[in-house]
Amino acid sequence: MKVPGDQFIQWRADLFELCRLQRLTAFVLAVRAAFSLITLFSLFMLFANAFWVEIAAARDNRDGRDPEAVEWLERISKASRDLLYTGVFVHQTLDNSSTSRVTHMLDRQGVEHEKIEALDGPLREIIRRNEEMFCYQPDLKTVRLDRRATGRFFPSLITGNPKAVAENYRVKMGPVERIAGYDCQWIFLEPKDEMRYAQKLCAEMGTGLLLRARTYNDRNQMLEQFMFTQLDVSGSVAKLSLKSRYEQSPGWQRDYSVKSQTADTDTGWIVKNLPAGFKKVMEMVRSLTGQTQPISHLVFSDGLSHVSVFAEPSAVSGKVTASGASDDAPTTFAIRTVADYQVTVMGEVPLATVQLIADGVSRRGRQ
Amino acid sequence: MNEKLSALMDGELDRETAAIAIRALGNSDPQRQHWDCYHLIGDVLRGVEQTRDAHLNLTEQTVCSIVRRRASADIIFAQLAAEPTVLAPAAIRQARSATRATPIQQRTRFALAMAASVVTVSAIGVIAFKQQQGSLSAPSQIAQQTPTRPLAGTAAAPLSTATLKGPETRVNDYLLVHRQFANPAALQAAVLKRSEQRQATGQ
Repeated sequence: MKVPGDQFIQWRADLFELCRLQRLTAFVLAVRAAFSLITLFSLFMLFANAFWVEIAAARDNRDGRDPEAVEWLERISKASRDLLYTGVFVHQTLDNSSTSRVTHMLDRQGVEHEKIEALDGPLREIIRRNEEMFCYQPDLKTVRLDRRATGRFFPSLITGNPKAVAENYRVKMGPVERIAGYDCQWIFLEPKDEMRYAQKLCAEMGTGLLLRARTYNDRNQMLEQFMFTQLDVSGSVAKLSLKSRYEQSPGWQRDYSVKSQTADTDTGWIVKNLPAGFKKVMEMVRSLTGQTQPISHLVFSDGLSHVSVFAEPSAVSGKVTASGASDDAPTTFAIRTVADYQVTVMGEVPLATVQLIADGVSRRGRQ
Repeated sequence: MNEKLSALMDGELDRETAAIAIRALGNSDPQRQHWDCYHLIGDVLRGVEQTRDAHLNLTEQTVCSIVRRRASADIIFAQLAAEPTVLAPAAIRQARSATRATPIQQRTRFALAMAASVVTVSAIGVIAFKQQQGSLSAPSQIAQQTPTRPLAGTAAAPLSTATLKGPETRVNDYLLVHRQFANPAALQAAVLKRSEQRQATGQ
């Protein structure tokens, strides 16, 4: 027989049970929520992994693998070589600017013909056939014969393989702008290391011809700029306009700058520890104007920037070490004595680069 | 007798026994109080508020007083919270099925859990990505902060070519060669300056 107290205890027990179950249910729900969270998390991580790869790929694109931008580099390189164009461009440096006219064509034999006339300062004309250059200096009545190697000839600024250029720079697409009456696509080249300057190239949308090119240092200071102020890419160029008006002039001196027959003469000089991306594109023996002293000249390039290494027997005893920059343009130099030679390294690169290259110059087989 | 009352409440008594029980209930105050008490317990358990308040007016000298003192559900639940756990799996299962969420609630909960996890993982992803970006952009920031070596005209007094002796005058000749008349007009103004002479010894 149950007493009311027992009964109450029973009730209480039931009540307790109920309440405990409520708490238990809450607990179970919490656990279930936690489990679903963990499951979803792991599922999401799987997706995230795939997503991550995408992000990485996107980042790689920004690191220089943007196929569209690299394709533009190829167009730019090809356009300056293949197209027929004539125009006037301004070359601007930190404290100087000059205007030149350029006329260019590719003949049926695949030979490039180019004529560059200085419109400011003393009369100068450069006639180029592929790599062969004739520099007419009417005031000196001299025509200087040279091989195109290091000069920055707008709009043919990309001299190397565009894909190789993309190895050394993060190539990005920039905005579209109107320049010299054309729609122009900006391509930004940010150096992957401190061994070269940043470049901003602007190419005509239709043809890919460079309309503007800018060089920046690591402080984002513009060092150099080329820009077309007038351009004709559709017209025909008369063959005559690709010849120098001084070609037939009598009494001119011929100044053969390059002495070696080939562009890969062994001068006995080598450069160790070249900065990434720089490759030797030329090696020759030349002399300075009015001098007979042979000078070894090695040219290195990353496809955009060129570095010259000159070596000549030292005229002074002892060691000379100096470095600096030209005051108008992004050309830097470093001088170092190696054995009995004075080595001068020069290029449109940061000072650290010419110094590094100068430190790596040595005679073959010797230190 | 109490057992009978309980059975009566639950409607488990047959007609005769029920009649006896009801009669007893009418004659005995304690019995009636028990009856009230049971109903009170039942109401409390069912959570019927109004009846509970009515029952609380009952006299104190009954067995039921103990319940009345604890009639407030809050007190009961507070006491229960301190009780040790009694395992009763069968009851749990029953209770669980009783409290099981409806499919809609379940779906809501699932959706919430999913949303929470997505938000969490996204946050982690964003943070990680930002960090990665940070580590990537860090070198360029450092590069920008690193003071560059002095350039011409900034660190050292510019030297004219006349003061450069010996082969150093060649620098400008080399510049002519290097630039290859690419920008003939610019070339006329180009004069190299020596910004830094680290060592120059002549014997």
